[in-house]
Amino acid sequence: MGSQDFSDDWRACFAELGPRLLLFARQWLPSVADAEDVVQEAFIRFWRKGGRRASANQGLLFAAVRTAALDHLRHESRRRRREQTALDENILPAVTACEEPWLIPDEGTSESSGELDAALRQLPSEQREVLVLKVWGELTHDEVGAALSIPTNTAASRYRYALGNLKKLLHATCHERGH
Amino acid sequence: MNEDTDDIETQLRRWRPVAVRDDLTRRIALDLEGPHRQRATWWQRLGFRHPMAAVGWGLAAPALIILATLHLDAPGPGTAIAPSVRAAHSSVPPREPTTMQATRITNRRYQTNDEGVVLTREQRPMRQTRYQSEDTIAWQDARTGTQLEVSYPREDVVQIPVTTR
Repeated sequence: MGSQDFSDDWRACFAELGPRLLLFARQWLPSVADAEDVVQEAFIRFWRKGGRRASANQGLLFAAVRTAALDHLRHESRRRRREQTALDENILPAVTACEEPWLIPDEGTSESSGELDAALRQLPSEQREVLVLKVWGELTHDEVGAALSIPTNTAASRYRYALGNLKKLLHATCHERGH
Repeated sequence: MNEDTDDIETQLRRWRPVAVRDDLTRRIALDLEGPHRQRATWWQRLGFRHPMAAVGWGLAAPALIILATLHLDAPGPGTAIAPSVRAAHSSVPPREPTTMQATRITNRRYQTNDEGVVLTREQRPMRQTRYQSEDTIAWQDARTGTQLEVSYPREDVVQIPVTTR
């Protein structure tokens, strides 16, 4: 196995899965840069541990991203606690919420991503992660369950709740706009 | 419920995740293909599947060279070396010293980590940033065109004082 094959494999794999992994990571991390760091770390670790099978077992890759994102969050919260202890509260500027969109419409879709992004952000995290994995990660309920370490039936019911809640949130937004 | 959810599901599938920036792919390439990648073992780099095969060949090669040298240097009685071979042997010019000159020095930063505010020994708050980069130096021999390139990782930690009120 030459190094060229190795290189081609990971590039093809990342071109296919990279945007989905980034979307998945951004659920927890408001900063795009942080989400990219997490995807980088998880993908590299996964690939070195036999990632050639990544395309056949995408659930594991998403699980690796989730673990890295949660680790990053824990690290960040420790850092903030340290900073708060060291400094007066108002010295450092508050981290601004990331306004960059999570999703873009396919060609021919005229809606703006703002409403959908906002509705997604309002979903409970356990519903949102299932929704993202199912719709944009293109995993089955079985794979979603395996990636999140939950039973398949739980994954399926969270998915249904997520769709229902999302519909309500989007409907409410339309009403607010007077549509 | 199903019809309702089918409707929203169809709507959602008309959206796709934002593309990954080229910079992220470059960073991963540097990690997987750059100087930090997991390297093959020494015998794999030499093209052997097993270390003992490499050791075997490693021992056999010098032995063969010694035998060949002895055979060439001590011709048996009656063995004549052709004059042309002898002439060629003696006409090899002495090796000149190399004239390698540095032609390129680059520094490529591939990761920047803001590690937040840290306290120095004097309890002074400093914002600490860690930069990871790859330095490359290339040399070239102007006479023969031989090129040599060395890359190595570098880590810089920069601390900037934070003003407190």
